[in-house]
Amino acid sequence: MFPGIVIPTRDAWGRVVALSYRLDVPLEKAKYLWWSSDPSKTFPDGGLKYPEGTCSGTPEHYSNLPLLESASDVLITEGALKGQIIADLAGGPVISIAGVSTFGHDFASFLRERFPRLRSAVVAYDRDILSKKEVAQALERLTRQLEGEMFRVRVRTWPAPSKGYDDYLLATRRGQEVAA
Amino acid sequence: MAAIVTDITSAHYRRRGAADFPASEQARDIADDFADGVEVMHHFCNLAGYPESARTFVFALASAAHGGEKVVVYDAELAEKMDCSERTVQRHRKAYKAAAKQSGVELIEFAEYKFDQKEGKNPPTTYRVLCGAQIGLAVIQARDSKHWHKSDRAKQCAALQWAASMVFKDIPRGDSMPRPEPRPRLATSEIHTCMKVADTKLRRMKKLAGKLPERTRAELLSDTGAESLRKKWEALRAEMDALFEAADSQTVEDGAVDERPDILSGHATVAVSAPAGASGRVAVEEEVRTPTSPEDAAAWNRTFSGLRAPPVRAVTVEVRPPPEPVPFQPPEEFLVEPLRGGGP
Repeated sequence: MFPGIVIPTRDAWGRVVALSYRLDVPLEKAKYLWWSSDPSKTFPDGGLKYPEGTCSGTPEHYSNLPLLESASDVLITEGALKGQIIADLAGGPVISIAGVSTFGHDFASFLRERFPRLRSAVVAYDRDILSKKEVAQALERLTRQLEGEMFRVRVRTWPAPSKGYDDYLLATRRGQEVAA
Repeated sequence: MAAIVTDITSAHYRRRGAADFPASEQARDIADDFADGVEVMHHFCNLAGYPESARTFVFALASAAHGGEKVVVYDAELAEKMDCSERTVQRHRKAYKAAAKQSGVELIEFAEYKFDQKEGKNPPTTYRVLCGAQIGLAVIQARDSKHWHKSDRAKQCAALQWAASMVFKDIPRGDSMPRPEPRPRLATSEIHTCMKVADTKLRRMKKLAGKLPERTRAELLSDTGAESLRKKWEALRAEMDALFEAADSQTVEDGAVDERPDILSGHATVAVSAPAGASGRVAVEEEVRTPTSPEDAAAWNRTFSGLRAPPVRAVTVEVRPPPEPVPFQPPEEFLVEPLRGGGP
């Protein structure tokens, strides 16, 4: 067991459906792990690791769900912990997808069906959307899919050097605390 | 506490962000988009039942009008783009109008204006591609669907066809304004024209017959064809007499015409335009414009409401203050008696 913190992932009905695990020290570039007992995993000798297990998948995390039920706008970001911090700092409903491209092909249609009052989405990926082509392409896929379901989509940016939106909000709060 | 952030519309972000990737990558993406867009456009035309000529017109304007934006062009400019004559452009447009009217689906909306007397020519026509948004939606839906295949183009085309049929019904209804029909000519003027044409043709026939050798001319005139032509003329003459309300279909020889020119010259003033109405004009006005239903208007607004918003806007996000620190209350079982007396 590696030291770290466990982050529960809540689905669109508020149920905890998965647990991710943020490592204090990254393990071969991996900062997050999922608690999963994928029944297809095997030992080197071919034996099943978790014959009775289940795969965690990479579900989206919904923060401030009661607000989301009646909201017309939602913020979409990457990572459950980041999404929860943003939800706590900014107060609005936030949907966190596990990775920039780990949303299903029916993500937007699910949102349209589950939250019919939603009209627009603001995507707040990290600032590397302009430096990493893969991230930019994932963002493009997400916005196209949302637009396909008639959502108005905007991409949120914020001043450097904060990499993530949560970093910027935290920096703003700290700066104003210091100024006060 | 307020954090200032900037929200950018996805379209503006795409335009801005595209500059950050290599040109070769961009070119490949554009080629992919082009291929898929053209494929969807073909399916739209198929679903609307447009013939080849109308389709050519739609494709030429789709490139000129750039998505949903309006474009104002003369036929000459379109002809140059299509590398054809203006007459061909007009023929294509006519075919498009007919096809759109028949199917009730307009992929291109157009507005033609009245003839400009001052300029002495027709003003340019305004066009707008109505299916621009639906082309994009169809391509996105196809690419995101389970039918999409990474490399098999046939399967990709099938997915595009499926997506095109899904969004086809969402194409907003057009509100085209065809050029008002010119005032119909007076029936008397038309008759004068017909008479001129008949006279010209007769002169030409006479001239050609004069050039023929004697024998050929005799054969031609004795031919059964010439005989039937003569009979047709006679029948036509009877009809003309009836048209001019002559008392009887009397034969008028050249000499008689010379002596009594009023026999023919007076006929033009007969009220031949009476059947066309008191004004003598033929009513051909036709209402083409169709009212837009509230549902269509709502669908239109829903689709394009995002486009009317400013591409970039500053947003102020209120950041919540940190929560008040709550004093830690350890459970009772964790409470221990303080040591007394300095220990054992």
